[in-house]
Amino acid sequence: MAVQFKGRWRARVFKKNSGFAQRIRVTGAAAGNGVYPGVVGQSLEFDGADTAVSLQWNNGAGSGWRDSAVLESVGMSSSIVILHFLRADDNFPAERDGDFDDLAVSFEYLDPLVEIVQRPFALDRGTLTMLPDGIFDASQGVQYMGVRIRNAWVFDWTADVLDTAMKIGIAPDSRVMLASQGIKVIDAWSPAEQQALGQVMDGGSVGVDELPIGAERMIYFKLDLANAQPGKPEIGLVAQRVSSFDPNFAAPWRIARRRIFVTRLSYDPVAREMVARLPEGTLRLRLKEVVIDRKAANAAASAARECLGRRPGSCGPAGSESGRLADELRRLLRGLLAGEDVDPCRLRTILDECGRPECCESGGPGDGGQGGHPGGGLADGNGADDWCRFKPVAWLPVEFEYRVEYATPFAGQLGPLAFEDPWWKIALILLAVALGLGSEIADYVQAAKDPKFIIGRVVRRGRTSKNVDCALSDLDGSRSIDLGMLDAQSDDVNNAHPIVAIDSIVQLDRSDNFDPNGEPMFGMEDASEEDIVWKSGGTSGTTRGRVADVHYKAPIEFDEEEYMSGSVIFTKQVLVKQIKEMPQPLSQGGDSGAVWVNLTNGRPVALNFSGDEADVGTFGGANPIRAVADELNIRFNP
Amino acid sequence: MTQSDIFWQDLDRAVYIAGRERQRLLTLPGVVAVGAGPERIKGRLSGYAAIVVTVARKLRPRALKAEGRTPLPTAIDGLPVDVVEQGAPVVAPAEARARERAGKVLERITARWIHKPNVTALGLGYKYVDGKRTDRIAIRVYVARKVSPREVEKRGWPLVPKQLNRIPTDVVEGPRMKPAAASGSRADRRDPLVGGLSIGTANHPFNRGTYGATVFDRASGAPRVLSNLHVLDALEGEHVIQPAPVALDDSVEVGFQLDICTPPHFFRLDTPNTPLGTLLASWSAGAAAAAALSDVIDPTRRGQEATKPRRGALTRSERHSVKLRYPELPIPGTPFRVGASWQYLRETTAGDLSFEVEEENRNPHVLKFKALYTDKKRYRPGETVELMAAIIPPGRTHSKPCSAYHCVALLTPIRVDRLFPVVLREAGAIFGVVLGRIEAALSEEEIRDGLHIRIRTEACLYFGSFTAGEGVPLGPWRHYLFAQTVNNVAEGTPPELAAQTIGGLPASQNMRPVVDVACGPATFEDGQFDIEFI
Repeated sequence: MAVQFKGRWRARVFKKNSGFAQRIRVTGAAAGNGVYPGVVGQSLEFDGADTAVSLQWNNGAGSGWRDSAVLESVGMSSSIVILHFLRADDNFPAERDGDFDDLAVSFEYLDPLVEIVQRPFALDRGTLTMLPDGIFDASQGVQYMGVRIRNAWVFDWTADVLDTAMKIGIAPDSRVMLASQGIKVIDAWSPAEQQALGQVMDGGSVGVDELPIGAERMIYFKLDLANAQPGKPEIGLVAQRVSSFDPNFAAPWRIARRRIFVTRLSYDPVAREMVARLPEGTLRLRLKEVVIDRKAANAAASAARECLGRRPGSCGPAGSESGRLADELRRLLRGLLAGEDVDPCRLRTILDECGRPECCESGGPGDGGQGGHPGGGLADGNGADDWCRFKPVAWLPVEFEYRVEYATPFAGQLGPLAFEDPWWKIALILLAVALGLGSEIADYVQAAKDPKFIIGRVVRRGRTSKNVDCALSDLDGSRSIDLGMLDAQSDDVNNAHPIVAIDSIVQLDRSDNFDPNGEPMFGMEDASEEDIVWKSGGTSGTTRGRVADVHYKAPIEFDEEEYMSGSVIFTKQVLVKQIKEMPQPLSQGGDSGAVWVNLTNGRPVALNFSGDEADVGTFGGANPIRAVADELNIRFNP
Repeated sequence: MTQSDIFWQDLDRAVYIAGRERQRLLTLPGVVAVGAGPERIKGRLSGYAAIVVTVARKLRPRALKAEGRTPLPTAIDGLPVDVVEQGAPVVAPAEARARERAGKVLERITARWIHKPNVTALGLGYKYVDGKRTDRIAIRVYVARKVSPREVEKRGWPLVPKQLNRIPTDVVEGPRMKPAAASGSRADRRDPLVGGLSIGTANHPFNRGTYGATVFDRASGAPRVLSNLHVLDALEGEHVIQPAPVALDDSVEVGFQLDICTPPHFFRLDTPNTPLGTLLASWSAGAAAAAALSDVIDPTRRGQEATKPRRGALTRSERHSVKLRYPELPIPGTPFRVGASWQYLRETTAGDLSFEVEEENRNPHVLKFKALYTDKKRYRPGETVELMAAIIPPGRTHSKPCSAYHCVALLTPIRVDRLFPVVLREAGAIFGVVLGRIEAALSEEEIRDGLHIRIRTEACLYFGSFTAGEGVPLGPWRHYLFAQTVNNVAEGTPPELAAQTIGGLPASQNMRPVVDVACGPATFEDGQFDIEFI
């Protein structure tokens, strides 16, 4: 009579009390099939999903090999080691003595008690959401590892009467191996952190009170990958009973193993590329065009500026001690973004010295032992790693390029599969948000502070109640001034009709002038319908239009700017219309603030501030220049 | 050639001649400016282009002769010379009076007309009849779309009367206007500063506008930079930058509007909580890229299959140039479409091989239903919030078991910008308990609609908890369910097949499209609860 076994087992003959020859026959196994002598001390191993084991006898007098009757029993040699016993009663059925001691074999279950069902995946420490395809990214530092396990033991795990509740941990030898690859297992978990992940930690292990045979559930571990090398290291899990300790719980055959994927993404600030390095080669991704939420980007830049201490009264103005700390902090962060090794202690010290709780407070469920998530949550402007992070900026990739450079050029048509997995591209694109776009914002914030680019300060703002959208800046004298305006430039998009000559500067008529009543007009004049006018705009360049209306009245929707928001109706405005026979764009995004000038005499007539909704530039809306000048108390004539 | 064509052709000639003759004419006594423009005879447009010479004082030929001065030429190279007096009214007195009358009427009718459907603006100017300008002054009603009176009536739009307060009207097509704050060397740092450059302010590095002109303070005479308020949109004292920070780096082209946002608005993500916003913002991009680059077969593999290198040739590198189009907002969890054009280039030791693809894909990662419930709506500080979630995957099969999703409850206090995530577990053995709690949380209307039956028969259930412990903000909270795909490929699956499954892609819809002042996805929560002192 054959007995069915599932899994990996080691058999050992421990008793023989028969005059007949005995043997053990193993069939149907994936490994270990065969016939083994039934002598005390004989040992064998087999493994398979449906293995049949028979104990057989032979009287040496013509019976041949026949199956014995078998008595089965189960025992344990420790709190987790299951033993299966088979005891044989040989001879022909009618002649058996019923002692079941002719051959006795013990079978020790060698499989791990726990099985890892899927590739373990990485969770973002701050939001507990899965990183792209669950790949661990060394540049993200501490991450949770989600592991789906199955009860592969021969009993249900339960805290009930049987008291077979288990705790699952990372095997000691696996920890050593991970450490050798720069991955550290963090065993400190705060109570809130355990609740957030729905589990109770017992030392460095996860308590699993209830899991029937074959049932599955997720458990989580915490890893610090800040120093990890890219690769596919193996994770080894072991189980042991909560109620009693088995010193051999971590024997090599008790360990369930599965590989995780670790990469190290970095940003090359010079080439502006995201870089992923793998043994097979390097993947580089470069964003060429993105569309972003401008308002959110401005908000992110403002928050970053504040958080990094660039505004007086926060972490300190530039030049002060705290300002220098902010500069050093920035350098460290840039190094971090570039994948360089930075001193985390120094980073922490600077953040502590910064002393702004809203900027630098600890947070994130992954703080483990640092008091993280004690009702703190992941806070605005603060990363789980305790450094200033950028506020969200909605964005979408429009155009990008990625290229794979192989460490060893390959022959044939198909290449190494590592680069044929879409997650690489997606992971890189996503990381471009945190690093590439973040770096962009940082650059802008930095540029806004760089004296090289500063030309002055805002000094006066016009009132919209006066039907104008105008403001003034002073000039700090850092650059010289040319009173003219750029004519069509050779690198402008629209440069077919220069006013004087391509790449030249057109001078306005800034001489004194007076109205019929003798009142000074300060070098300006009013627009008249059908006047031909031109402007020099930052986006559409130097283009011409026709004055279509000088009593134009329209509601303009402002997108919640600091001082301009909501719908404002402007009256007595100048509407400039595209010349049908010369269809140049007149007013597009970025042309705001351009001055419309009468082609006839070089006198300014209007201040451009709006364009058609489709942004194609068929119309330009402008404030009459004299209303602007009166509101701001300015003149064009020196 | 039409009269209009002749006008513009002549105007270009006039600009050229004015430039050529400027220096000579400016030497003549009384001449202050030389330019080109439409000719006006006694204040009325003649319809021809002219070389326009501005003089300090206009004198009759006889008076000029008396002063011993030579009259200006009446024409140069066949083009008329129009002599105008500096500061003198350009239009005829009768026209000026007509404009003044019409202007008063325009003020009176504004409130009634400016917000009418299809009306974009009001104005006044010459009345056009059959495309030809007349001398009459009309009140202009600018409309987004000019249609027949019958169509106007059908659409319920107001029909513009032929006259308003006895002033003729003219209906003109003209779009709605928007601020123009968003090229070459204009975005470079320039010294000297000159009108027409790109500028911005330090507080809004993603805004940019134009350095309009250098002007002078009337009181102090100090030079100033003139631009718009919405360009120099900052407190007094804020730094002004040239070029605008956003224009500094040309390695990435940064746009601010999506083609789908028509009429164009600024692209906006509504974020009630910034960490949540970060999550949703980045996953929008990820979901779009995954859908566009087909998460079924990778473009690199497609490129390799489509290009066969010569025998013995080695492939050194591969390059993909990708352009994406968004015919609709790529909101994760919805079956949005995204267009992709990409070119694959294989660089081999025996030359380059390329392959191009133009296609449109749909995001397959969607759920039929998702919801997150709490056991109560009000909690005392220290109490535990029990969380229950239900999702209905599309065509639940063995390949999409409940374990194929990673679900997280994202809890955010409304008044404090923080995020408290809770990982949810499959209900598994306690399915009945979780189901009971969900059914208790359903509204009468949802039960009437049979939602409880759908949940019972089709849904995957998940649960978790959150204790409103010390330091947890009080007041109203929102809760969101964020579900992602799990890479559940079995070990040993052939790599080509395994690569077709990506984990971590968002499957839950947590945003919906909104087109308002701004255009973009707005987040919406699954529900709310309060933590308060009771």
